[in-house]
Amino acid sequence: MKELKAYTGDFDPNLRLEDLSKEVLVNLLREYARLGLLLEAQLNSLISQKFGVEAATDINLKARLVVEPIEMKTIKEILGIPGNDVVSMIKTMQWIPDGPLNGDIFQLHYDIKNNNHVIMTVTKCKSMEYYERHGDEKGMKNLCEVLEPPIFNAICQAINPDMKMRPLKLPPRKSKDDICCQWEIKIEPKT
Amino acid sequence: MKDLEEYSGKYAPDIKYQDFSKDALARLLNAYSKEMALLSAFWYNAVKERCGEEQAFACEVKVWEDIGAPEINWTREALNIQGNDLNAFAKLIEMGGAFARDIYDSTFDFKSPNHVVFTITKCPSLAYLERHNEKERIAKLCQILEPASMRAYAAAVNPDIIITPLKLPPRDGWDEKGWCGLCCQWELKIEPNK
Repeated sequence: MKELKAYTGDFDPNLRLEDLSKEVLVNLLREYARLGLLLEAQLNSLISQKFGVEAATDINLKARLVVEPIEMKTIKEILGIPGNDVVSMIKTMQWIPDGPLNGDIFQLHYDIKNNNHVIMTVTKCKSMEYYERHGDEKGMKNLCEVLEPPIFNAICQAINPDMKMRPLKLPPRKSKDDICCQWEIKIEPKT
Repeated sequence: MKDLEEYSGKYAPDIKYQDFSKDALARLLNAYSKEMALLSAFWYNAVKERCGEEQAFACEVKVWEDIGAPEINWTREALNIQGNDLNAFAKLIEMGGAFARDIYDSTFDFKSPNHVVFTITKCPSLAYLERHNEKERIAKLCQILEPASMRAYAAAVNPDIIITPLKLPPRDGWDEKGWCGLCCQWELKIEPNK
């Protein structure tokens, strides 16, 4: 198996991803993840300019409620993550392109009470910090109160329809040393 | 460095991409690439539902024109692909995130270093639209969006690349012309004196 550190030389029509070194594959993964985020950001910004923030939020929500569950199911399958409890969900969420492993956009801490009950604390969130820096409370409210709760629930329910994520603490925060937000994730079978 | 084939054990808070095998990383890359195609398609649907088809298509074209340069530049960085000739263009398209390698199939026929025929032989988007008889959408995607996007990607590699569509859908009568198995075909040229 080749271990290419760079793609120099001639175009190779038979080059496989596995021919690249692990370091290069990781670089490429970060590039693909960044590209997905850029695509979403460009669309959001374009729609906001043309039709306003409310329309952009509504469109963003509709699109992500479809895409995120597909993404979760795909990643769970390709990484062979077993189970459908809360811990399986957080293991899957580690690898989504807009998740915590992509650069330094988010930092998360999980307090695992048991396999079906986890407290997720977001200690760094560049998106929220952007709105905070610009004093844009409406933008922050759209992101943290309108978009994220239903999207997080769709992410959970892609793994288990009985899984729910509830906000315990949402922005605005009192100081920059404070956490960004906190969520309780639980399996709650329908009665 | 670990070489995990899958993530079946306990939750690992400090796990990194590097802990996986190359095969697992390649699977993740394909998944990320597919996600981009899905994002674009579902955003288009949501914009269309709220603002109408014309606006949705205008946004789709603008975004794919704008994303060409960052995608080319980031792929260059990730793989250290040098140069601005057609060899570099072919390598950058082959490895770029938007051209998911297990979704699309293509060939680059190098007539000379400055003349290439690029043929797409598998395009599930086109196959889907043909199955649903969406002729108007095919015409817009293949005859307006794709040429605009191809030009943006080519210009990001080298503004002197001239890209000309040779065959674009709809594919009515293509079999009779002997164009079986083609989805679209493009000619890329760099004039040597430029």
